[in-house]
Amino acid sequence: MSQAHELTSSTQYEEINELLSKNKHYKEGFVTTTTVETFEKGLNEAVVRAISAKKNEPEWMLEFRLKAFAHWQKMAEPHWGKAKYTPIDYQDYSYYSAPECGACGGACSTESENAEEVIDPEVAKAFAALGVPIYDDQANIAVDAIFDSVSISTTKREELEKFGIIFCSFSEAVQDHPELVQQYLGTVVPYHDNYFAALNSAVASDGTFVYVPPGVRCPIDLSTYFRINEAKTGQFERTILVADKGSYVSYIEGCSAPIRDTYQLHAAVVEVIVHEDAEVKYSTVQNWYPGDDDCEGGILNFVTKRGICEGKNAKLSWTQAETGSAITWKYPSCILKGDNSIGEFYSVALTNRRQQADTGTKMIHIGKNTRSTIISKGLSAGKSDNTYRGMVKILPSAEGARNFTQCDSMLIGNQCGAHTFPYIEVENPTAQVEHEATTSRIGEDQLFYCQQRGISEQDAISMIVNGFCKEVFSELPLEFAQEAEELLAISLEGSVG
Amino acid sequence: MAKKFTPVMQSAMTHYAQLSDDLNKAESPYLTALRQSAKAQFLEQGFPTRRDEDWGYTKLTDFVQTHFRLQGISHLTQADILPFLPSFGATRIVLVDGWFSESLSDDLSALPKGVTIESFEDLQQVPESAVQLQAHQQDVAQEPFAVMNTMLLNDGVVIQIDKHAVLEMPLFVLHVQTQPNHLSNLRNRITVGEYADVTLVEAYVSLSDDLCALTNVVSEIDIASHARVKQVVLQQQNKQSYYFNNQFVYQAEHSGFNTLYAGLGCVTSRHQNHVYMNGEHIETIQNSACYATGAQTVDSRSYTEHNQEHGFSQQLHKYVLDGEAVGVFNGMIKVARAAQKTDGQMDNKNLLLSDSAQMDTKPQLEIYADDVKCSHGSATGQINKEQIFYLQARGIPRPQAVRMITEAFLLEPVEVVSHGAIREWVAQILSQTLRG
Repeated sequence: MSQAHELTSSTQYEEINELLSKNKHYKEGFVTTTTVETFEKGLNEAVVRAISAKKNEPEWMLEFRLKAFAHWQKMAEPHWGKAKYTPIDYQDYSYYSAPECGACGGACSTESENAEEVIDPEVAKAFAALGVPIYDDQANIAVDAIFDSVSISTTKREELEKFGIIFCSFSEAVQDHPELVQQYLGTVVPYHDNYFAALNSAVASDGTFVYVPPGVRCPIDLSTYFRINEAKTGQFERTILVADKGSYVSYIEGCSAPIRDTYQLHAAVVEVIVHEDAEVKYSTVQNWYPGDDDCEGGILNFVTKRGICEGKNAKLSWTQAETGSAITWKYPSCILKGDNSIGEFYSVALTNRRQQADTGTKMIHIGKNTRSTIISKGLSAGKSDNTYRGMVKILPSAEGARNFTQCDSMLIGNQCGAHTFPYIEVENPTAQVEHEATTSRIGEDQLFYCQQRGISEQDAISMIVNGFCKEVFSELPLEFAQEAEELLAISLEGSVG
Repeated sequence: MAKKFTPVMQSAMTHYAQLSDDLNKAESPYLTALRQSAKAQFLEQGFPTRRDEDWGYTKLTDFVQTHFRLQGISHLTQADILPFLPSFGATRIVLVDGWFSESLSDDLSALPKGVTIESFEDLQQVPESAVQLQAHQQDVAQEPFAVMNTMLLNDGVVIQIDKHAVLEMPLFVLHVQTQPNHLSNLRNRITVGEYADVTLVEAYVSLSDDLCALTNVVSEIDIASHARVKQVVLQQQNKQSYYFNNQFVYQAEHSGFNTLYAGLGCVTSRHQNHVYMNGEHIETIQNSACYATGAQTVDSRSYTEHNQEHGFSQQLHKYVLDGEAVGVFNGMIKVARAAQKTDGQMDNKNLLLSDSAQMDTKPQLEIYADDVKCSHGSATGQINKEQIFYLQARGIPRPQAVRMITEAFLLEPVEVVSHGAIREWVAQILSQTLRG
C-alpha cells in the first residue's frame, strides 16, 4: 500500500515537470511586426539627450534626466535579492523604440484628435488580441495603452475631463501639465533612491499620469496596459498618480511581452501621492514573459513602486497578482505620514519553471494611529524560487500604530523554494505589530477529499489554490479578479498529472 | 578591491592582530598556522559595521574604541565566587578571565565514569587537537567574531562524554571577569557520544560592576546519534562589558539539543546559535529570554539548518526592553531539499516598557522541501491595558501588576528547562533582575 502510494507521488512529480517544461501556456507570447523606430543599442549621455529631444521635452525634464544619469553611473548594480542572474550589460539594450505610424511617417503625435487614424493597424491588432480596448467604446474602463517606449492611445479622456480628472500619458503630462509634473516628480521616489530608480529617471520612456482633483470620486476604473514588443529593448515607464483631498480612484495595471530568447529589461517607477481623506486602490496583474524552462529569456522586472499617504485619513491599497517575469524585484511600499492613514498590501505571487521572484512591501509608519495590513501568498512550482521580503518600520512618532502581517507560502513539487525574510523595526511602545508566516503544501488528504467527491485532481488543485489566494483576489476589481484567477489556473495547468 | 577602514577601526584591527602575533611567540606549532590564517581573514574584513546586512542593528562603534588586552592571571578565593554558585548540585568548572582555574574547580580527575574535562591549553600540544579544531573551520570562518576568536586561540574547556554515559549531575561552568580592559577569548569543544546524556549550565559573570571587559566565545558542540544535550547559558555580566558567543552545534540522527539563553547583562551582547541538523529524527529546541534597560543592546540569533527528514525544531525568543534599550532578534530556519517532513517553528515576542526602547526583528524562513510544516510568528507591543486593569480590579497596585505581567511574560521560555532546580534558579535570577 505504502509502496503504491510512493509510486504515485513520484510519478506525479515527474508528470508535473514534464508538463511544466512545455512552454505552451503563455498565450500573450506573439510578436507584432511593424515599422518601428528604434535607437541604436547603448547608453550614454547622448542617448539620454536624444530621448528627451525625441519627446520634445522642456529643459527641466532634461536636467532631471541628466542628473539621474550622472548619479546612476556612480552606482553599483544591487545583488542582495534572492535571485541569481548574470550582471546585465546595459550597453546591449536599446533605450527607445516606438512604432512609426504608417499614415504620416511618424510626423504626427499621439495627441491627434482622431485616435483611430493614428494607431498603427498592427499595434491595434496586438492590443485587440490582448483584449485591451484602445478605442473609446462601451468598455467601462479608461485605458492608456503603452507599446514599447510610447503611449499609443488614451481612452475616455473627454469623459474624465468633465470631472477635472487628468488621465494621460506621462509624455503628454510633461507638455500639458508641467507644473503638476514638476511638483510631484521624484518626490516619493527620488532619482538617487536606488540603482534601477536612477536608471529609470535617466531614460524614462513613457507612462501614465493621473490627477484626481479634490472631492472627486473617479467614476470608472483607470487602467494602463504595458506591452514590450521589440527584442533587446528596455521599458522604463514612469507613472505618477495623485489623489487630491477627499478623492478616490481605482487604478489597474496589466502587462505582457512576446516570447524572446534573450532577457529583456523592465525598470519602472511608480509614485503615488495620496492627500488628506483620499483613497487610492492600485491593482496590478503582472504577466510578463517568464522565460522558458532553461531560464532562457524572459523579462527582468526591477520595479520601484512607492506611495505616500501625505494627509490625514489617507488610504493607499496595493493589490498585486504576480505570475510572470523571469526575475521579479518589486516592493510596493507605503509611507504612512498622515495621522490615521492606512496602508494595505495584498499579493499573490506565483513562480513556476525557473522563475525567481523576490517581492514584498515596506510599511513606514510615521503618523499617529497609522494602520497597515500585509497579506502575502506565495506559490512556488517547478524549479522556481519565491521570496517574500518585507519591512515594517514604526518610527518613534507613530503613536498607536498597528500592523498585521501574514505571509503564507505553498510549495508545489519538490524542486522549488519558498522563503520569507521579514524586517520588523519597532521604535514606539504603543505600536502593536504582529507577524505570522506559514509554509505548507497541498495536503494529500485535501486532494483525496475532493477527488472522492468527483472533482478531478486538476480542478481540485485549482480550487485549493484559489481558496488559498481568496483573501487577495477579493481585493481586486471584479473583472480583474476573474482574470487573475484564470491566469493562475493557466500558469498552474499541468502541475499535477 | 581592498576594504577601506576608518582610522579607529584600523587601529583596533592592528591592536588585535598584534595580540595574535604575541601569542604565536609561545611554542605551539599546531595553533600558529591556524591563528595566522584567521588573522589574514580578520585583517581583510575588519570588524563588521552597520552596513553589513547582519550587523545593521548591532552597532560596534563604541566597541572598537576600546582596545581589550590579554592581562595576566588574577587569583580568586572560593569566597569571591560564592555569590555566583548555583543552588543545585553540580560538577563545577571555573574559568577566571578566560583561564581555567584548577583551584576553584572541582577535582577533574574524580569525575564520574565516561566524562573527561580538560582545559584547552593543556591540549594545545596534542597533534589531534589541531585536526579537531579545523573540523568546522568553514562554518566558523563565516562569523567575524569567531574569526577573531580563532586568531586569538588560547584557552577554553574541552568536554568529552563517552558513549552511553548518562550524567545525573549537571556540569556548571562559571566564567568570571575580574580585570578591566581584559579580553577573555574562549574556545570550547563539547563532544557527546552515542546515547549519552548531559546537562550543561554556563554562567558569565563580572566580579565588579565597574570594569569593562570583553568576552568572545566560540563553542563547537558535536552530538552523536541518540545523544541528548541540555544547555542553559546565563549571561549576567555588568553593564559596561561586551559579550559575543557563537555556538556551532552539529547533530546526528535521533539526537536532541535543548538550549536556553538568558541574556541580562552587557552594554552590547550577541548570542548566536548555529545548528546543523545532519540526521533524521532530530529534535532541537532553542529559547531565549532577554531583558535590557538603559543603553543596552541585546542581540540573540539562531540559524537552524534542517538537512534530513523528520526534523523537529522549536524556538521561542522573548524580549523585555526598558529605558533606551535596543533588542535584536534574527532567526533563520533553512530547510534543505532532502529534509522532507520537517516541522519547524519559530516565535519571537517582545514587550516594550518605555517610549525609547526599540526592537528590530527578522524571523526568516528559507525552504526548499515541499512536505514541511514551518511557521514563524513575531509580535511586538506594550502591556495590554486590560490585563493591568484586571489585576488592579483585584486589589493589586499598578506597579506590582505591571511587574507580575512582565515576569510571567519573560519566564515562559524558561519552561523548556526540564531540570527542576536549574529552572527555578534561572527563573529566580530573571525575576530578581526585573525587580532591579
